[in-house]
Parts: sequence; C-alpha cells; structure tokens
Amino acid sequence: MAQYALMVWGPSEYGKFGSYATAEENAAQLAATGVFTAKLREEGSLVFVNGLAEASASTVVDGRGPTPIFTDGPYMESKEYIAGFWIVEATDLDAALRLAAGGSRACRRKVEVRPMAGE
Amino acid sequence: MPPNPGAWITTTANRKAIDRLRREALRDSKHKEALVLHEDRPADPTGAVEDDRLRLIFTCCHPALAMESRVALTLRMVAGLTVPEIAHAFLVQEAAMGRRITRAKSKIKAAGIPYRLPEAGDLPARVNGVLTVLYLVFNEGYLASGEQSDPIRRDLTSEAIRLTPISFS
Repeated sequence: MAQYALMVWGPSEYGKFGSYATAEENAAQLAATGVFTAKLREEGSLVFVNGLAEASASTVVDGRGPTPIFTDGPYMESKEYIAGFWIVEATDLDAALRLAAGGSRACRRKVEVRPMAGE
Repeated sequence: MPPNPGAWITTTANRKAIDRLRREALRDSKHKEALVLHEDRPADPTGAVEDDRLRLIFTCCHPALAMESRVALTLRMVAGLTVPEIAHAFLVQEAAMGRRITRAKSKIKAAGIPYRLPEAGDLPARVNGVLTVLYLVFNEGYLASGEQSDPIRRDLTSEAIRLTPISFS
C-alpha cells in the first residue's frame, strides 16, 4: 500500500460559487464530490480531503534567515492553482489513477497524482 | 514504379503480414469467447493475458509515461537494443536518450507503476496503447540503419509481429 496526493487544479480567482462559474455547476460538483469522497471513506482509501481557499488568501513565509519574512499572496503567479486535494491509500499507481479519474469527473477539474514520499 | 521497389515490396509485405496476423488473432479471440460460454473452468487468477514478456511490455507502455519514453523503454527493455542504437534510431544524442530511459525507469519506481498485467476492464485502452508503441517500434525497425545493423532490423519487426496477436488474445 502506498499513499498518493490527488491534487485538484483550479482557476486563480474564486467568485460567488467558489471556483465554479454558476450555482448549478457548484451544486452539481459538490454533490458528485460528496458521493465520491463518501465512497473513498467506505472503501478505506481516504486518508484526508479538503478544499483550499483561493490563492490570494495565501501568505508565503521564508524562515530560512535570522528572522522570518512574510509575503502577501501565493508563492508563484499562475493562471491556475491547487484548489484542494485528496490523500488516498492505493496499492499502486493504477489504483490511484482510477481513483483520480473518479475524483476528476466528480469535481469537474484536472487532478494531478503524485506519490507521497515513502516511509 | 516506386523509387525503391525492393523496400516498397518489403514494407507492403510486412504490413499485409501484420494485418493478416491481426485478423487471425481476432478470429481466435472470437473462438475463445465461444469457448468461455461453454467452459466450467474457473477464470485464470493471474490475469486476462498470459505472457511474462507482456507484463514487461504493458509496464513499458504504461499511459503514465510520455509516448517517446514508452517507445524508448520498450526498445531497450523488450527489444534489447542498446542506448546508442535507440539514440541513433531517434536521431538524438546518446546522453539525452540515456537520460530519457533513466527518467522513465525512475518514474516507474517512484510513482509505483505496477509490474503486472492490466485489469480486464482496463485492457482495451491499454492494448491500444501497446499497439501504438509496437507500430512505432516496427517503423523504427524498418527505418533504423547503421554501419552494423541490418536495414530491416528483423529482430524488432519479428518482435512487433509476435507481440501484436498476443496483445489481442
């Protein structure tokens, strides 16, 4: 068993309906994502899940020097940012990719799959 | 009259051979389907297709790898070509080809690409991917040339022909 991060990529700005254009779209993806995540929990695959606030709510911290430096905004300017993620347990990449396909369909976004570092 | 009739005939004959093998493989799979309806034997637990080399080729042709990586890795691991030979076929520097193959192997290890045959439900899409790679391998086999190598690279083309019907079974 290995752990994989399923990272959802979304737009840089959120509007009235989170990162979705209309109320209908947001409601549909919420419902679908809810079903998907519940199924992950049932199967024992889910380690953690949550969405992220929009990128402009970020603060970058550089603690490498003598005093920490704080910068307003995300680390990198980009058209898209990570909007949320699932951490899942899966036997191998094939299993993780199958889960990611379901997650991507549910939240109507592309999902990046990266293995967590081993123990 | 084509400019190089010998080469044209060989290409055409090889293409026809592959088409014939494909059709025969499909016919066999239809026979197998008919048998399955009447057989009482339980399904083979090791997977839908039996061939150790096929495990290797499905791994090398995994969709999580970029197409050029799949082709290079298949040529190296399945067809057993050397890195210089593959580099020459792709018209890239040896060092670059070496890096491409090393990165592909690292990706397989780091991402946990499994060394096993795909689940039956995934097979049709994965077989298409393998056939694409085999087609490219066959083309490289035909086109590859060098001071020492046989212009037709019979080992590559026979590998492609051997594996194509198995992929369909």
